[in-house]
Amino acid sequence: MHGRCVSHGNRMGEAGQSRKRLVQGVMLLGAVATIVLLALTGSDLKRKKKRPPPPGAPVGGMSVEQASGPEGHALVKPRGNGDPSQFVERTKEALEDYKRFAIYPPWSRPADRSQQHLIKWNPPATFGQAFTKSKAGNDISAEVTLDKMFAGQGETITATVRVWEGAFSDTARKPIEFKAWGEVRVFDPTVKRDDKVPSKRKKRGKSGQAGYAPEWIPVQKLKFDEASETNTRAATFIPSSIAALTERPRDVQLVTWVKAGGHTFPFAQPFRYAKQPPLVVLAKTSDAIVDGSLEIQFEVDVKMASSSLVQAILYDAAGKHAIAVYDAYFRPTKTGRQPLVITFFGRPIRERGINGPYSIRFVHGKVTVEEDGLGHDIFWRYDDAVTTTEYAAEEFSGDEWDSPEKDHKISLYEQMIKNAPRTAP
Amino acid sequence: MTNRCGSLLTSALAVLIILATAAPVEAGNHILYMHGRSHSGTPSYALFDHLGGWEHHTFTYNGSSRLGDSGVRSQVNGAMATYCRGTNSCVVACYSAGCARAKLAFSDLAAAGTPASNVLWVENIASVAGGTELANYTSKWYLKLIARIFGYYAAIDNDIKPSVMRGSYGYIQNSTPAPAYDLAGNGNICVRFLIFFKLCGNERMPGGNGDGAVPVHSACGYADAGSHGSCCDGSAKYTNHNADQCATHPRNHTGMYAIGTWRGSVRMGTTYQPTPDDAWAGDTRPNVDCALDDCDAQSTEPSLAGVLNVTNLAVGNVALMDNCNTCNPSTGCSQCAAFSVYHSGYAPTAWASCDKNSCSNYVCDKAGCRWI
Repeated sequence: MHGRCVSHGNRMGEAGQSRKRLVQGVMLLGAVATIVLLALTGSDLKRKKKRPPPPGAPVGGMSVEQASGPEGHALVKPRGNGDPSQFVERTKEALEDYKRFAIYPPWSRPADRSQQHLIKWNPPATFGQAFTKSKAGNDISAEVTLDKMFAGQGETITATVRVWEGAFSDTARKPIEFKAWGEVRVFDPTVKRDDKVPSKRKKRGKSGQAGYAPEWIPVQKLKFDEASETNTRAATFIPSSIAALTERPRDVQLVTWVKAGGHTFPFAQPFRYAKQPPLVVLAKTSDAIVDGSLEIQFEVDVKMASSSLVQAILYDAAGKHAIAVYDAYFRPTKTGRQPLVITFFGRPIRERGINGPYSIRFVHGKVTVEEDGLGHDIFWRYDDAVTTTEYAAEEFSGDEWDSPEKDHKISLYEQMIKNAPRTAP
Repeated sequence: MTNRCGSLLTSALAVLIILATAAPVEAGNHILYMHGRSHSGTPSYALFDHLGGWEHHTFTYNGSSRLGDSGVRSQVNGAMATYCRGTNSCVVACYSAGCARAKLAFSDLAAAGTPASNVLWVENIASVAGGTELANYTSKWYLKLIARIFGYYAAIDNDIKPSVMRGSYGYIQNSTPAPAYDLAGNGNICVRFLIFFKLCGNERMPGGNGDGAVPVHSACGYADAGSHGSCCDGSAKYTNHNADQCATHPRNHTGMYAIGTWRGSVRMGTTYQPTPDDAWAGDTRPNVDCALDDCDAQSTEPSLAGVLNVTNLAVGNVALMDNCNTCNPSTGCSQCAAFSVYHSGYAPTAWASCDKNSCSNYVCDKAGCRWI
């Protein structure tokens, strides 16, 4: 009996050991899981514990300026020590930087790399990204190009879309079957959109195309056709012929929908248009050197008696070398035919050392009109290249820009330096 | 066309009448603060320190509204015409999209024949005037990445694509009438998915160079939208753009706010200096591509060690918290930097505190004060 009990006790002891080991194993696993979870979430779990507010933390409407944090560190921007010499040095720096800028006037400067956007003022817009995956698990990417940013009266915009299997950065683009269609959409500022981004797709209600960008209202559908290049599609439209765009100035974009790999994706790109040009350049009427600079006079027909930006580029006769830019405002007080004078500052012409005749190209500008609570830029352009009479580069002045405006600005800096406090408050 | 012209003239006339009948402004020195996307003002602790003799002027426009918004333009143009002309001189401090608004204002005033001729310099803090790629890219289910990163749609996202800022709005790029000092960050902003993955803004920037929201090509005033690792790589810039310093700052976009306050204060003759930080440096979680992976079906958890959006403090204003430092257990945490918090009608009350092991956020609002 005792032996059996012993035996039974032994068996029970073994079973108990097994259960004990099992419980220990489960506890060990639980501890490991807890440690892993803590490690992954970092301090998040710690933050869930109740803690007293940090020392000096504001309660209710307490002024934050009065508070300080742990270890004596202020938790707000501390007041710095004053250093009048620092202020004087920095103001002198600004003065020197201004003088360097003001060698040329703001309205005419060398046609250097900082001015290229005046030359390429109506660039094509290309954008794209990978947007889904193929059955093989490869990226599917698309690229959409609008051939211009602005289309004038009667002018077209062509959108071209290309789709390939591969990353967007791939140079070898494997063609893939796709569909594309477009929508011209106008911005409606009265459509309110929930600001917060929902964390889950189902909370967005209608998803996909139906729920896309509700503040942009479709006004015209576009059909994309096969284009000349392999596996591309293109659509051409005339913004000034779309009724919704000609009712009044509108903020517009083209949304190109691309369907490939079972997924439909939008590529949206804003553009500008003009129902009618606000200003029409008719012809160059004269050119001359005035006060050492090149003055060009055009005859223009002003349709809107409103301030217009005017930009133009001075080139050599062949149009190969850009020499100077003009960038200023023309403020007609009445509509109708009248002169428009632009001036290319002499110093960039002399410095470039290229003799005339010169050609003036890429003459363009814009007028801003207010509609629907937005300012709308209505561009205009003059595509003809006009030629001047012959000049030698050395006929133009090489002097720095000199004007009351510049003198006044320099005097402001000098007064600031002169009146700077000598000691810290 | 004549009617449109008439409305523009009417607006200009309204501004003139307001200016003419307003109380006369004494001659003086002024600092104008132009806030960015998602902000509705500039908090008092973000104002520059100075040696005396300067007046601060902040705005109340909705920072998320369209760049061409007539009301915002009117407010900004009116202030610049008042404080940056005549017997007044001004410094313009702009942050993020506020710098695009500043450039547009310079252009508008030039168009009106009343240029902001007395601007002494501009402090360009993390400027998005050159556009951000985050406004181009969208997730699989059509959310712009900038909205995904910050948690909010903003109408201005339609305007701050690089192709728009350098194309349709290209004419404003050379409008700055005084030296602009550019400040750029190299930190990142990420949101976390399912603990194991993260989505970061800099993945979409050329060369990965950005502050999580704004690429270096924009913040440094470069005339191209390519990859730039510093503000002094010799590439062409738009006119009047100068580097405040060549190296980018180890801060993300919200952290740059504190950097801007510091550098602006230094230029005004004071020596305040915050500590640098980048909470995402060394984070090895793999990145997720929300154009290909279905992030939209997953909830996002803004990391409390990154940008934290605290909403609904009042009237829909958004508070953006700066990063806390990643804390070193042996040396502890350094001070958390200044905040971008706006809380209408309420003292700014979002806070961060560091102890040895973590940075935490303590918020006070109408519901009370609590750790989050």
